[in-house]
Amino acid sequence: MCVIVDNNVAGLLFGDSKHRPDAATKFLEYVDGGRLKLVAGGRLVEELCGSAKVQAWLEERVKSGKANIVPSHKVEEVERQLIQEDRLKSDDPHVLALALVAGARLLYTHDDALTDDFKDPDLIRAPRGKVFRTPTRSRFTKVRRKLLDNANCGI
Amino acid sequence: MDEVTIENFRCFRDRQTARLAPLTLLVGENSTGKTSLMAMTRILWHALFGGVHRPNFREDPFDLGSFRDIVHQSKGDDLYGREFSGGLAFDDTNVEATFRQGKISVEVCRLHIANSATSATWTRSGDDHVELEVRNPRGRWKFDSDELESRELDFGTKSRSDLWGLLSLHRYLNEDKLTGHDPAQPTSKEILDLKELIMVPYNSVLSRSNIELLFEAPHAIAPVRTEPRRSYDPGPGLLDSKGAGVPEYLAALAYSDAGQWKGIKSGIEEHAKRAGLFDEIRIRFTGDKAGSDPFQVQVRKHSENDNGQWRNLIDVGYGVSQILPVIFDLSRSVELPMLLLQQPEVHLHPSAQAGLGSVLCAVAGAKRQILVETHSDHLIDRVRMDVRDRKWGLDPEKVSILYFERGAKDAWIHSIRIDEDGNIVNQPPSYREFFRQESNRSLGI
Repeated sequence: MCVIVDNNVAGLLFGDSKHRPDAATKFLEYVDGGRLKLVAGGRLVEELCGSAKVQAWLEERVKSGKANIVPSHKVEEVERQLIQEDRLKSDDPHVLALALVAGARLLYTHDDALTDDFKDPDLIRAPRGKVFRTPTRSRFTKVRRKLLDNANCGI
Repeated sequence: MDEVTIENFRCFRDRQTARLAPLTLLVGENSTGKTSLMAMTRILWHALFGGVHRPNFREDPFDLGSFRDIVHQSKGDDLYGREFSGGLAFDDTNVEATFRQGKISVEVCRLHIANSATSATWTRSGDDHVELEVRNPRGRWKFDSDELESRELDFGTKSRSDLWGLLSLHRYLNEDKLTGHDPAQPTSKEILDLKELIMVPYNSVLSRSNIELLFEAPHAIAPVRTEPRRSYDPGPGLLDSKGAGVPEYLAALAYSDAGQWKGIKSGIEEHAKRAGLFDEIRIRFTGDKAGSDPFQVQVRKHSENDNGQWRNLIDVGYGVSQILPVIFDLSRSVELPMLLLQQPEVHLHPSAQAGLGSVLCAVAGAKRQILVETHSDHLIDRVRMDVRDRKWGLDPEKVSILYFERGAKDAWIHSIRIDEDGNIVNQPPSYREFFRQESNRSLGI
């Protein structure tokens, strides 16, 4: 299934491996193993690539087919609609727009407001969005089956 | 050609089918079968269209050796009676040639053409007994050697054992001297169906090229190309896989055919500019007698302020002389229905490798099919981006990436696609595994 990584967990995922939680390590293994496909696009790509390390990791995953990039114009169009509707709690319309365009229903974030938006069935539906938060779900493997069986992205 | 199939050939034991597109990129580690696939594609062309009963498996630049080197074998395998095969698909029609060790050299022993309804199979046994079998849902009909000989057909027992030979037979099927398992003879409609079946590959080729080029075999360019020289003597300009005759060919054109020279010069300059290598090329005769005195190949790259200085090919970067035969062939590729390029990127800077990706996208199309064996990420990335941005009108469907993977006793070909956003799809788990591991290690992940 397709997954989005919010920039606020990039440090946790790609930082010093000694301090990386097991679940984050598992997450990376799932991406490389093909069980999860990362999607990025629009402003989120700019945010993630603010770190050269993340950029290098992401570039290789794009070349390998482990990550897909959605063209900015597609994301920005939906992002503008979300901003116009003015009903988001978070300041991350670009992440929600990406989910809607790419069909991604799993989000890795530590942002509470974005979590609420992502789980809002009026925003992300058919199926509803799921959020993966390392601190509260320290063992990613426990929930993986449910998440992996949940939905396919449109890519 | 939409697909190429190989079985029991070189490192491929199991049947492998690879999707071909106007632009097909062959990737994978060394010794995984990329060159073998290119060689078989050309061999099949000779066997199916060229009337070649004993194809040359050592034709430059693909020297595959003898039957023992060509047929897939495991340690201790008995080679007696072994065969290998290759096939091409044109729309819904598949053509397959099977090869074996003949009395003299490797030869075609079976030719099979089929669509979902009709098939024709020509078989030649070890004692030169020849048989033709035609099948459709209603029945099965056979010619045997005697029948063929009595009609003095120039097929199988003589020179033509390709599709053209097969086509020459179809008209005899409405006669009553056939040995068949079905008492009913083929109807006119069934005979027409067979003729149309055999015509599919020809029509497919004709739709992409002129009739005089119908039998033009795919042209191959080797990964090792000839060294540049300070000056050249005029010569016949024989074009080989290393590009040795390209300077002489260009000089002959420049001297004797201004119109054609202008066209080819403009094509070379367009491609070279796109790859960021040079802007202009010229032939400079160094003596009084143009056309017979030695000449130099010179190029120049424009700067912001002027047109730059003319420089001898040998005095510019080595990559320029190495890419010249490639962009020359791409410039005249309208004459070449299929190009087989082995590592065209060698000696090029990454920016020029990327530029070459754009050149390939611009040239590949309905009338030009290009197979490129490459180890260049820069070239592939540029193709992905150009497809995404629809820069040369190249749809995602018109690009195929063939990933070659080798196991202990076999090799596999995976057909990978690019989607409309330029993303890689349908890749197997092992695709670029080495690069991901290196990237993780490098990044400390």
